[in-house]
Amino acid sequence: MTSLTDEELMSLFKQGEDSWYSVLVRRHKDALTNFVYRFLGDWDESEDIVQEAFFRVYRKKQSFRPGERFSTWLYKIASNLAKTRLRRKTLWRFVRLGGNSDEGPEFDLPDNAPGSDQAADEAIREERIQEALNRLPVKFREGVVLRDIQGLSYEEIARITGTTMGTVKSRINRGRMILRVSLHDILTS
Amino acid sequence: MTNPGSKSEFDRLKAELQRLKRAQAPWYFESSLHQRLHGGRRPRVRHAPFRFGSAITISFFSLAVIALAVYVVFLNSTLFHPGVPRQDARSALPDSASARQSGGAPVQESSTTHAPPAVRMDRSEEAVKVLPKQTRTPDAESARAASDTVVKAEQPAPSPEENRKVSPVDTTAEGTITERGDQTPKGRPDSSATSKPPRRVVPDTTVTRPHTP
Repeated sequence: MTSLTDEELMSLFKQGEDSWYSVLVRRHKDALTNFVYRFLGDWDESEDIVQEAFFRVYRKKQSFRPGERFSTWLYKIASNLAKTRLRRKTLWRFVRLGGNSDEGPEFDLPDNAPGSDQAADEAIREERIQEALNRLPVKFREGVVLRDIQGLSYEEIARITGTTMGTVKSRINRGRMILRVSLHDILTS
Repeated sequence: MTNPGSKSEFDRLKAELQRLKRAQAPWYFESSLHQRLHGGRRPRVRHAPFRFGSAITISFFSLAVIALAVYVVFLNSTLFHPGVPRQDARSALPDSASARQSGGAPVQESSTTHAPPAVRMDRSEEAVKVLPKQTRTPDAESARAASDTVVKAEQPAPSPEENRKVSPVDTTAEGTITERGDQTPKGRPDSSATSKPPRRVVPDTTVTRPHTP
């Protein structure tokens, strides 16, 4: 992998060298997938949205302004797509016939491998945290995921969400308080 | 009770969030993206919010129910007796008239049965047809004869044209020959055409000679 920064790669890519686009994709695909997955709580949806985000980067490369951070721009695109998908999902939940039956059948396969109890506990713990995240309001969830899971700075989060840093901090704190209450048994055990 | 704002619990939450398993893009992500960029193909959509299968199934069952209802309605109608006239088809059914003719007890028709007007008219005609002859009494025969005479008496009177052919001229009571149109005064009905046939009036030919001295 090259030592060029994202912005330099983007500049080269804008000049017509498409090979640098693949380097950008390899750098950010996992982090962006994790963000969208934790934000939506749906793996299939997150996969589609990450692909759509990179597709828009390719198509709208000329709209990337010099001096802007590439990661902020990329997260902003993905966040907007995820919010749009969430709104549509909420709307379809009332219209859809037959409830949530498009999900595949669940299979409970026994796992006899050593250390499977610990892995099962970890999986249950992770599932509960994800459920608590899904119950958070979208504004709080976005800030908590970007800050506590993705590790972005308050300034970057403010640019991605299009708000001030004070608003970002307030939202993150309120989201954490709600999470602490809902995950009380896990945190005290 | 645990203080929700305690430092240890807050750090624990951050640690739990950071320990979440990092989701990674699938191995086919890049190839799929490349295919979309250069092939123009949309990514596979696993979520189908509107399921056409359900809509088609519902529509099919609705049409089936409607078709069944239409079939049941037309099954009871006479449209399902092709080639058989309506009167014959109905006479095949037992009713009160046919039962009376065969000597059996008349079938009591329910008061709640509502027959259409056309059916009632057919039944009355049928009843007249099957009326037995012994019900015709001599009084009825005499009444029929009387009605025949009345019909004969009401033959149309000869028209004035015919009268003119017979007698082109007529006289008044004083014997003055006038046109037929001036025979009767105004306002008086011309009863001569209907009451009695026109008479042939012979003019008085006796000439009174003047008395000569």
